[in-house]
Amino acid sequence: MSGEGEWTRRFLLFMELWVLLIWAAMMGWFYASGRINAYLIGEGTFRIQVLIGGLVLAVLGLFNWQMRHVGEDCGHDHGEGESCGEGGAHHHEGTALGRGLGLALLALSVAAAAALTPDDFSDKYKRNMLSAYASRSGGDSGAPEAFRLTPNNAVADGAAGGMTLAVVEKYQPRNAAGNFELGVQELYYSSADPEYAKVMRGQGVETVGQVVKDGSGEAGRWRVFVLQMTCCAADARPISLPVVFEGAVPALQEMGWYKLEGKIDYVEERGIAVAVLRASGAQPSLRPKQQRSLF
Amino acid sequence: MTLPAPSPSGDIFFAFLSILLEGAPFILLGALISGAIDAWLPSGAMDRLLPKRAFPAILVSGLLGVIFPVCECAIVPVIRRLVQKGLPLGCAMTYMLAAPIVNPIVALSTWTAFTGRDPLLMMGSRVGLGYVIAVVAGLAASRFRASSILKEGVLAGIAIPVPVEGVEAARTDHGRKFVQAMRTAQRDFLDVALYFVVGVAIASLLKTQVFYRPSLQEGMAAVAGNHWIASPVLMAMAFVLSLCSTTDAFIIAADNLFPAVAKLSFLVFGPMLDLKLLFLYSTVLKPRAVAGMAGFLFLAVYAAGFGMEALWPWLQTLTFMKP
Repeated sequence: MSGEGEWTRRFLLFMELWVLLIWAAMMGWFYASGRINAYLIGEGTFRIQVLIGGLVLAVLGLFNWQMRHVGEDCGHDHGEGESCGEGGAHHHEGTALGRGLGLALLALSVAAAAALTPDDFSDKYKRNMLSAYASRSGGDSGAPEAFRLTPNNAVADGAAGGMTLAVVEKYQPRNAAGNFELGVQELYYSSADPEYAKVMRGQGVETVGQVVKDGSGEAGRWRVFVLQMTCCAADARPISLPVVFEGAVPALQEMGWYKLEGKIDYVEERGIAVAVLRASGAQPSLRPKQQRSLF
Repeated sequence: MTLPAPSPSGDIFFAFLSILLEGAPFILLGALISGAIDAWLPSGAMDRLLPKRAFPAILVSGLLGVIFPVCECAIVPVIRRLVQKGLPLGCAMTYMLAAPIVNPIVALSTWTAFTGRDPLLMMGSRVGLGYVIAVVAGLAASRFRASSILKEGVLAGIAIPVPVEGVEAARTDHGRKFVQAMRTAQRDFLDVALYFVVGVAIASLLKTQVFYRPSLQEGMAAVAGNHWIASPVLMAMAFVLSLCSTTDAFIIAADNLFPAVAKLSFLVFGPMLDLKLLFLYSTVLKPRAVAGMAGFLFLAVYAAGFGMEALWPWLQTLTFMKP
């Protein structure tokens, strides 16, 4: 960078300012518009970090632009007679052209991604993930795993302890139809608590998710799933629940979003209790916008 | 506002932005700390904080993450600046590799994720192995000259210790120092963000277009029971997925195909080396040094996995390992 002209230095500083402002605008926009919900979980501080980060970037860029005339001494603890070189030569590597291209890449990549992102994964990618996780949990590798309907004795015989239906209703009121409205992952994880599962078995529930045919190929057997994030969308993994239509099977579209209604039951798969939805109906639904840890 | 319809290219942008939105605030935090270090930490101060002898200093550096829990995205700009302020190379390498694992947040998340599946054993093994490997890497790095490992730009910025009165005089000029801290923070953020963006873009491409292909997944499932291959397969998975070290345990704990020791390799290797880190490390180290470090980490984690494979059944029987 030594030998770099004053105009080049100013231009690069101006580019730096715009890169920071573009990043700040993107972060602020995603937060303010609520689109951030599709990218980061609500628990913890991830979302607010994006807003604060965006504000700090804007302040940083504007402050440094405002202070561009303040001396170029780098502030390091140099020995006597030592200096940073022209323009603080050791601060940046490469040529002015290289730095300019790098800054352009930073601005364009973020701007393009913000403009072209659909805030959701494609059905093909979700299907591939669903198959991969089914495979890793020990099921068939080629299709969402088939399931059996072996009664689960642990849930059937488990002591209810202090858990009662009244306690559940206190924290999860029923809707007008008398059903509990629960997320797919809430139903999925309910099997891990035998006390809760024993109380919930046979209760009417409604849940919203995408549906795929079960690997068994039997009519009336589907899976409902959602993607659950741990921190961000890139680490999302599918959480799925077997669905069995006890009566007439409605015409469901693969990968469609549906609100499913039915009774929750618990069966045994590979020695562990698994929640199953014994469905009585399904209605097309929109993808939920605000749900816990999923999109 | 109408969003584009989901598509394979949209998958890349979606994954790219999600990692970027998660990681950018941490890189900014690291850059701000770096700016403060640059402006206010006198060169040579690190010598006074750490033990004088190299080996104890490296041992202590591996534990700094307990006091200063920093994730892998934030630590790179901090390390870059600390090296310039005189932190010995071996200590810097140890802190950089250990901090994303040897810290209370990661330990707790590992414990939580593995509840019901030897959580104490997995957490202790992860933290212990991460520490040992980081210390060995630091000892190895300390045998090299800084000029053979560090990038030119980092080398050029290494400060020359000044007399104490000079430092004191500089400390009094807070306005100038603040401007300098902000200027350095901006430069460091932009320098590191560039490498981060490239690493995240490649990771997003591989994750959404390659990793979950059924044929690849079937291949992974087929080798899951082979102890020779299972660990490197999960290490490669950690490398591609580029997960945050506070998150990765939740992703791998749910897996029922791969053995526990392969998961341990995933949990130790990922926070030390993944695609985004490969590029982030390139802001500090020369390409040859990055390649050497990558090779060392792969072999060390792989070899450690075999040792743990032999010890695992015995460790599982220890009563204190069962909460």
